[in-house]
Amino acid sequence: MVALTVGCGRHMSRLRNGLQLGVAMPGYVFIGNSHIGSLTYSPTGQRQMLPDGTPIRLINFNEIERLENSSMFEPDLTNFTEIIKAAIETAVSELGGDVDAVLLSLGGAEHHLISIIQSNTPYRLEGDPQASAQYIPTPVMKATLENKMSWMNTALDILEARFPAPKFFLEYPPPIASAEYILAHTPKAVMTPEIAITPVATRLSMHNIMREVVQDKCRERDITFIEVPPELKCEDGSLSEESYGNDWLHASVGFGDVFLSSISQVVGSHLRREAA
Amino acid sequence: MSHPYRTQPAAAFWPQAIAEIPAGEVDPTHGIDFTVKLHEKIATAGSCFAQHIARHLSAAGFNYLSFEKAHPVVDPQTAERFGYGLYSARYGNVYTSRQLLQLAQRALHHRSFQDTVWHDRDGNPVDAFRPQITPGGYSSVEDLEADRQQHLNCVAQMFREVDVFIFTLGLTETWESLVDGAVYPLCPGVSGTGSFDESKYRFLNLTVEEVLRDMEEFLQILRHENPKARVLLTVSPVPLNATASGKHVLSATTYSKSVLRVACETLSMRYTNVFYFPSYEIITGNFNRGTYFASDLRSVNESGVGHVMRLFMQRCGNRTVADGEPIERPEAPPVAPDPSISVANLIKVMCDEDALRYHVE
Repeated sequence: MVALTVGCGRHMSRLRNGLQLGVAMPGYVFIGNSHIGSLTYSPTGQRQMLPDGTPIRLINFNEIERLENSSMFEPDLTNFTEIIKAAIETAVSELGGDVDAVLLSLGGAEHHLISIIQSNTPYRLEGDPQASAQYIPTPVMKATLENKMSWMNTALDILEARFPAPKFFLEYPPPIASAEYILAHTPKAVMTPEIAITPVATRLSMHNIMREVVQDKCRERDITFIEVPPELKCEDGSLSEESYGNDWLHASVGFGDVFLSSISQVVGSHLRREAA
Repeated sequence: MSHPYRTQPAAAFWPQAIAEIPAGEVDPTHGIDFTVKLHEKIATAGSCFAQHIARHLSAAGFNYLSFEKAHPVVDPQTAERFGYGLYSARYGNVYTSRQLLQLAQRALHHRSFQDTVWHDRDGNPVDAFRPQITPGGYSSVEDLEADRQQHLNCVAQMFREVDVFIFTLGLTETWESLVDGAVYPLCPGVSGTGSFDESKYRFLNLTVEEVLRDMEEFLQILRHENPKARVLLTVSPVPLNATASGKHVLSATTYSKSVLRVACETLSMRYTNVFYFPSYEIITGNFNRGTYFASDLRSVNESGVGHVMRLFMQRCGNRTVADGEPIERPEAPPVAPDPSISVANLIKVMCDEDALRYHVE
């Protein structure tokens, strides 16, 4: 490993030196919740590196026991800050904090929680043709999701302090269009005879609003947002059938393979641009 | 020697009704023959002061209805920020008789207008008839139109179903489109919404005759849709924040409130289903020496609102409520849990139990 100076431009000098000397790169760290599973696992287990050879490390918030107990989606922010900080420090001490890029996929279930199962009072969003359902204006839905995602600001503050490397936020997989597939994979605990799946148009609109919420956060914090490549989506923007995961909202490792190659390109070119 | 004053009650004499009793006991509701029953559907609209009335009626257990509720997936903080629950529908402030008339006309398809979408500083579309209902504007004109159509449907339902419609008249000054006479709650260009163009808009300061004409036309529409509806009018005691009349703001306030007060009295004398409640007098009467206003001398403080609502409960609600006394609300009927919400809660738990954790295929 090349000796590094601490401070602004650290990763750039490292990258420059690494490129010049052919030294192994510190690699990328993936940090997030369940959606990073499709990216950081292969059919044989957890990936150690990307297809281009870049070493990867993983901090999966869903695997932090104390955080699970605090409830990710309505966390007690006092405990949350303390727990996240401790979890990140533990991961850093185990994995090393020296990274070239931070790939984030924080959250990503908040919008599903309120949009998969049809409400007693069905609702519709912008671009959704269900005429009889209650309309929720986009700014109202966006503000609702922003509130649900407020915990992410705390997490990002901590991550920014710990990892000065460039950060990228990975778009969550778009929704699964097939109601039949979702029903077939609905967890038994929530399955009832009356259960109905929300029309895909509503879930797509919800995904788009959620994407805006995340993109706004990225703009505020100079984080690059990486979109899911078009080949992983259907024409209407929903997840391609080949990318369906083994449950009702996650994508497959096949999806991860394709997305990773797109991620490698975007991150690599960003780092090369910075190094130049 | 007998004369008409000999038979008048104490309420008719200034010393007995005002000067010689504690301020908190002044009760100008004498003679009001209006009661509302707990089960009757109540709706409110009007200027800012109507929000106080709505809040207190709701807290006191009256059947105060919101015809345009936020969907259960929207959290209460967001709902409040976007104007849900402030009034019985999301119309924002309805300051003038003309605005109320046009709201009813638009909701019931009697009339439509052309200049209905403004834009804010960032270029986001804003509903010209309720420019502050969506802070930051809408995401598109289609988003605005869909929300407005739903809003107007709720307003129409409100007029069709309400038993008691409480309307607080606030202003006579308004801004009118020269194209088709549409009036707006805000002057275009104020607060960064819309832009003022004197070839498109003009200032209007309604006269007593105009207010009466507007209100009579509104009452006619309401009667046609809902013959049983009764209307309780109040005048907002909140002075004008600014005037475009060229007069001093105090003179402009006096003109405006006088016109509205005369119109209310006239309407309540002409129509058996129209009543006037003197909240204006309770707040602005010199007996309280201005103590019902906050330090800006405009906003009404809780003490003033409390006096108004206490008298309202006594006179119109058949309930005696002492100052500060908590009012017990009738028990709400049980509501079936919404599957999307209960599932969300369950999923939260399931998340804690790794349900959403990624599993290797």
